[in-house]
Amino acid sequence: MKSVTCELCPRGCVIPEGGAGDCRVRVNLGGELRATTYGRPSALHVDPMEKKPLYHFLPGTPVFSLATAGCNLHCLNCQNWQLSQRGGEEMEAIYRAEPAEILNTAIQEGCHSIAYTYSDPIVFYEYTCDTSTLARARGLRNVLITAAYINPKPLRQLCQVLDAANVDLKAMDDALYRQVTGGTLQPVLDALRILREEGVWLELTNLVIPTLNDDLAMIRRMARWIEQELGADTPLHFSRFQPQYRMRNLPPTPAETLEYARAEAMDAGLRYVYIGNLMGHAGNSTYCPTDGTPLIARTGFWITNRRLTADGRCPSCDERIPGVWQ
Amino acid sequence: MQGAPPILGREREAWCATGVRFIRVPSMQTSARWVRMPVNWRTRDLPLPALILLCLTLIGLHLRLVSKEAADAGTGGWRHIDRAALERRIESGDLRDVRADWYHPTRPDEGPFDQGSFGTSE
Repeated sequence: MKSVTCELCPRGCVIPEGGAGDCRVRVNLGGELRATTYGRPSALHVDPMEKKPLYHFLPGTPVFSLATAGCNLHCLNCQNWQLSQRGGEEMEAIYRAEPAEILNTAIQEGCHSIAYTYSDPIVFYEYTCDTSTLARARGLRNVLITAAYINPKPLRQLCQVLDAANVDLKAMDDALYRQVTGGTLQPVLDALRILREEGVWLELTNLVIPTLNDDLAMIRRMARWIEQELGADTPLHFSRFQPQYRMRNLPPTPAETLEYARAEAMDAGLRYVYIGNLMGHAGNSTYCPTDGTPLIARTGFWITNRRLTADGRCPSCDERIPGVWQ
Repeated sequence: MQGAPPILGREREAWCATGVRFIRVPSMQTSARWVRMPVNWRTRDLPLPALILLCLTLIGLHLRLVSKEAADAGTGGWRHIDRAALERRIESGDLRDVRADWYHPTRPDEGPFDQGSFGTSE
């Protein structure tokens, strides 16, 4: 009975022979930890970059998106729970796609980047690393869409091949993390600092859930932490909650709650704060923080008007807008 | 007037017939709503507090066990899986057994379970 201790994420699962980690897909077989979903994604799509959401990273470009089963968090409101809360052996749809095949398909589809997303790419770490390394070599960019519940060492190694990340910061409250996700807050904050230190383009998403994390004092605390630790230019997306999975008892987030949250975060010093999952809202567009010029107008995931210059400047005042624009 | 009840009798224990609260009432104030306590109520009702005490003890033990399990899960959790199904999917090529990064053989000071007594879910 050779058990192993997984060092990938803060859970530190001690896994007996024949068992899986909390993520369900890293399995101890014969005393060795095995990545059972390597090269076996269950979701492959071409998405607009805005869907990730990444608004300051190659806007309007298609991104080849993939995910395997499993996740190391268990959010009660997970929107991909059919994928994330299952082990590989429980999945019906499994594609066979080695890293090189992913690259070929992405290029055929006209994508300039690959997103590791939907569930949480932390749990298919090796697949993400190998595909990202190949992608880099062929001139493609890599983006990580994650809750960032990962230990510092593996994250720093992964950062060497990452170009951008959107991290889902659930709340600035450890108790809520434990209650809703089964994880804890501090490792996520540490991971955010590391992503910033390693020079990965970073955007944050905060899903605003009525009665759970819509308190304006907490939102201000979160915005201040972001401003102080990551910088005022870090884009923050307030996303609208829709009842699903095990959290159907709460209503969708009212538009005014998102507007208050955005105003609070901008008042705390953040310069690029967005409202997402709310079709047609003005807060979904990018404005120049100096003179208010609309730079990228969006409806849903689609860009309807772009005035930002090719090198990422405001056409009116020449203010440089932070991001990766080409 | 022999045999008639006193105007102000001794106070005594009584139950409200619709509730469980003990009150003290003058013995004369009895009606259909008040039930006089039997003489031997103390011995007869001893099982009730004993039962309450037992329930509280069991609840306490249960909570202690649950919190210990939760603490274990947070610092070294793992999951049973359908290993036979996993191996079938690996053999068919639907899944892989690529060696993972970032792990080490468990040290003796790690692990919430007794490795010697562990059995898989099969």
